[in-house]
Amino acid sequence: MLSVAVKLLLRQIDRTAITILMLVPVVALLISSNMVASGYLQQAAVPVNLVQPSSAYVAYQPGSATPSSGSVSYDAFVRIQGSGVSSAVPLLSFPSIVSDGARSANASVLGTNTTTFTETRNSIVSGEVAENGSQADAGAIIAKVLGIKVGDNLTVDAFSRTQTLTVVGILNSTDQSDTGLILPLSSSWALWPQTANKISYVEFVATDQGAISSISKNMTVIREQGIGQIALSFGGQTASLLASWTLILLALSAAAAFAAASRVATEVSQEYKTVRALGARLSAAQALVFYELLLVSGASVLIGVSAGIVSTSILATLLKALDGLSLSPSIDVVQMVVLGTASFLLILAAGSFSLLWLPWKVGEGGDAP
Amino acid sequence: MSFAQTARMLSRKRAIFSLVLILLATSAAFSVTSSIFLSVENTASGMLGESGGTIVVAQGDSRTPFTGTLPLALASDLGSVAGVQVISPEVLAPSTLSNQPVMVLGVDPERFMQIQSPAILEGSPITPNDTDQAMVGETLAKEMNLHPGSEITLVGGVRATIAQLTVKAVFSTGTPLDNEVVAPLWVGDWLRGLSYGTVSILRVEVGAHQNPSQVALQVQRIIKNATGASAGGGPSPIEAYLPIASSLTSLAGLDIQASPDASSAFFSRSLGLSQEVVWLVSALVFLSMSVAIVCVIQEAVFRSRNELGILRTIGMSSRRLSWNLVAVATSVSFVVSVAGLLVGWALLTLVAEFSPIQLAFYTVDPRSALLLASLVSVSVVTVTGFAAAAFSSLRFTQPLTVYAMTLPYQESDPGAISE
Repeated sequence: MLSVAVKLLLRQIDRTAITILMLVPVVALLISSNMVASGYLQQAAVPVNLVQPSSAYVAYQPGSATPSSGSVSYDAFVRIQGSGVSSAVPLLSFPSIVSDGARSANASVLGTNTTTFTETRNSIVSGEVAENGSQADAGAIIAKVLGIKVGDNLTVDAFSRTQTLTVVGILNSTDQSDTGLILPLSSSWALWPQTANKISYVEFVATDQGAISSISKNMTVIREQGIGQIALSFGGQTASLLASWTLILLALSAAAAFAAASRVATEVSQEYKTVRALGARLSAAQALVFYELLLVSGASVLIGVSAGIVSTSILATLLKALDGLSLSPSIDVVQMVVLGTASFLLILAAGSFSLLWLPWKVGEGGDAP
Repeated sequence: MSFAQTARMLSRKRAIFSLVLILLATSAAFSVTSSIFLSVENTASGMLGESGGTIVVAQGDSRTPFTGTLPLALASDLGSVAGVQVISPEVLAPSTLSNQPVMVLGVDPERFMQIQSPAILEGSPITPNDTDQAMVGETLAKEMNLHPGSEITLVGGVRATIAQLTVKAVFSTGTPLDNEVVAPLWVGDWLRGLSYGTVSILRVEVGAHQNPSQVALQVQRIIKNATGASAGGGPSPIEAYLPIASSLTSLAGLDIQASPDASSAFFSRSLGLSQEVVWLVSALVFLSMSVAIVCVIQEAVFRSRNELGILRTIGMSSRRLSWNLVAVATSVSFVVSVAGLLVGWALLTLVAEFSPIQLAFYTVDPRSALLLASLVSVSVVTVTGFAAAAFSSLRFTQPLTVYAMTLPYQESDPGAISE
């Protein structure tokens, strides 16, 4: 039966060629999109794997909107310090109104271990680091806004209590502390008793995941650098877009395969009628048409896969040469085999479905199935 | 035999339903694909805030617009260029907010409000002395339920630092900016890891009657000769609040470019995301679907072969028959392609509602380019229906031949039948 099908296909070589040519672009497009998608995802995965975010973290009261708005006991800092972290700094932050007599502004007061603070943040210090009672350092931006200079006296109003502080240095850390006043933690507690023995959050550096997990049990911990999350998120976006794109293509390919296979079945109905007229059983006639479908599908998929690989490679080279676009299609043999087999089965299934209708198409059936 | 009768003949055999379904799928798929990719391209090309009258000055040799740096003092030099109305220095700082990527735009509040004129939906705009406050775009505010008074913690993407800010306003611009957090310039510097006095880009608004490309060329010329000393534009207002030790003395060695389409050029260069590529991808989809269109039209013709054959036998010319078929197929293609647009619009609405498309830090509305995609889709599907029908009607061009028969009982009279 197979040899008869081959002979029939060869006898109608022009018709067979047109049918195969119609199926080839569908398969080639699937292969091509798969190569581009694989290449893109591989490219996207590289930066994600290269990303090494900083090991600096912030731990604060669970449920508070921001680290500064939280309030935990100083003991929390002591526990973190003793849990195997590389370094830790306690920070107490509260809002205040700072005035130099002529001008005033809203600014945060930051109580901390000033020496460790300036070291870990690589602060540029103009003057001295505040170390006792009524001394404070002004952040570079608040100093510029209010025109504060070393030696100036400032009034700081917080918790309905006004204190006078002497500025002994200007700190430029190029971070948010530049918009506030920095003073020793002990001074903050003494000047504003409402804050005694309290801190807002702890900044720490740790590479030991066990230590981080341990701290996370009692406090909210966030990493101070989000590059890892950004890279992961971008990779996810690309993968999602490509997955949607592939799904659209698969749906379209299915529709196209069904239409093309239906056409194959219709075109071979002449042979079907001939063999039926010669007395062949219905099953034998359908088998003949099925073999023809099998051969046409196999040839289409083989040529389609090859055409997809060749055309994508040529297109990538052309786009790189003409547009400078770096598109690196990737050939994954396993995926090619899976896609090729899936296309083959898809065309065959669509053709077989159409085959069921063949007796009715040629007018020898009763009621349609 | 009229056009309507040919149409009835084709529909009687139900073959036309396959044609309608395939055309519907093709039109919907084409409009969805091209609309999504064009919307992505539109978003990408407006990321740096370009519009008809705005040009962007950025570091020419940086890999991305986000990673380039410029001296803030350059803004003073560009103020003297004829046609320049407003210069807005801006720092782009990729960050995260509640583990979600978000772009923080550090700005000089006064200049930003002048160049962008955003609609303030809630709260009041930030001012130069709002040290720890920010505005959020409408899309981001809706997504993260942010309102004036909300406290947010931004985590630096490039540098290990956090910025704890209070939302002061929610704004709307109808551009990708609606996905961003807009904060004072120094917040951008912290999160991006730049020293004060350094920015990512300068956004320049040109006068209403000026050609942006011409102004961009003049800006390039000025940059080449710039020294960094103020030449008439005056310092940016925010410089009064920045702890900048010394002003710039030379721009030597800096590769700085000015362009009306900086981000579009960047995305085209690095991601291949240009309109040409979008149409190429859509064309590939369409190529595979045109195979199906040809198949179903041939199928329809095949199923009606008896009726069409009778028409030829009773005298209808092959040309007339072909034109009738082409006219029916073209009309059906046009009507169904319009219906396919509705299907496409519904699909895109579902995508926008339930699985929004994200491009880097921005949410893309896949329907934003549907109009252009629709026009192209209807034209292409209709033309393909016409071409496929013309190809299928080739079988009618074969000459109708009636062979002489020799009847067994009348061998001496073969008859006089000929074409």
